[in-house]
Amino acid sequence: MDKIHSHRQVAAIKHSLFDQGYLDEQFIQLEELQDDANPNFVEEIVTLYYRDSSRLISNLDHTLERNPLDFNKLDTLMHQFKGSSSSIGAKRVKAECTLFREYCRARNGEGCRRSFQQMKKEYATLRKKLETYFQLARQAGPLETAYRPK
Amino acid sequence: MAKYYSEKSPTALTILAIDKDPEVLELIKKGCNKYSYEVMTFTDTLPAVDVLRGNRDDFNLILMDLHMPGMDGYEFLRFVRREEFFAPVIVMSSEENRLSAGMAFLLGACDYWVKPLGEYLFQTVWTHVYRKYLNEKRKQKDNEKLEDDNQKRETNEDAVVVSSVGETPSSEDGDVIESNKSGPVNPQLPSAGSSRPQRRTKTKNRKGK
Repeated sequence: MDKIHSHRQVAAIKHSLFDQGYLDEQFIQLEELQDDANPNFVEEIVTLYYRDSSRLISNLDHTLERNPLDFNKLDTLMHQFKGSSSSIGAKRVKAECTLFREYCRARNGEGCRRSFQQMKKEYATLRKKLETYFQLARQAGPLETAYRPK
Repeated sequence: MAKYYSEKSPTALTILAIDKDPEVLELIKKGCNKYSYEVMTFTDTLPAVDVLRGNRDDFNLILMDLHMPGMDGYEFLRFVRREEFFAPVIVMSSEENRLSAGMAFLLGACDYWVKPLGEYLFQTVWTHVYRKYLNEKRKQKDNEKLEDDNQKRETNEDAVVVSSVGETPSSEDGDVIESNKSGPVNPQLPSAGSSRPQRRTKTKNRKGK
């Protein structure tokens, strides 16, 4: 019975992540690539994402401190970051990236800074939620051993 | 494994290339012609999949665009692994993205090329085939050695039983010596087994050839 409850919990968390717009379709694509040969694929990719993007973020931080702002460089960096965020289905983070790039094109430094702060918030929130999700999923164990309600 | 790699002509490759951009395929053809590789190109994934399934041993290297419509590079990598094709897969992307590369490698890609491709890439592309061949050969030797050791151990155990019994055993004492072995104490070693190199056991997920 415990197992069923755990799995329901995991499913509920996942549903809310989608309902609240934190994740999109791309996350499902990642899940579909997971199999016996790659049993922890999604978690591995998300871990890679957070490790890799922290470098980009600190880069963006430094570049935003300059005076005058180098909008081309900011746009290039954000383009890379957006690409990675898109790969894991980070919907809200991706939306902020798009906004940021628009501010870059408009040469709006204040807009860039604001949107960057917002993006970092979304990024951190998603990280916590995904950590919880993966932890529970690991505890719940493989789905085959639990009853799957229709 | 015979067709996968030819000792006589180690740089003679037959390549399968999939990319939605015909210009990229033209460049690939040019590179292949320069180094005398055979190449078959596709702008769609599914026809390439059909050809691969129907000609398993004919290709020893695959070039695959990561961002194909329909079945993309990642799904293709999974397909190659599941259906146990030997050919190493090199993925190609028009953007340099560490996360994409990480995903591709975790799914089994052996290299990650960023477009536009340079002709120089084709000069040493045979090394990916050679590397895989050497690794598989070593694995096979290790497995053979394992079987060999197991066999020897069984034989020694039999010998110990016989000597403790004292006299030559009657048939009742069991098939201790004669059993399935073809001769006396040093039976012939079984042949190397299947023509496929041994892999980690996993459930096969064939959709049928």
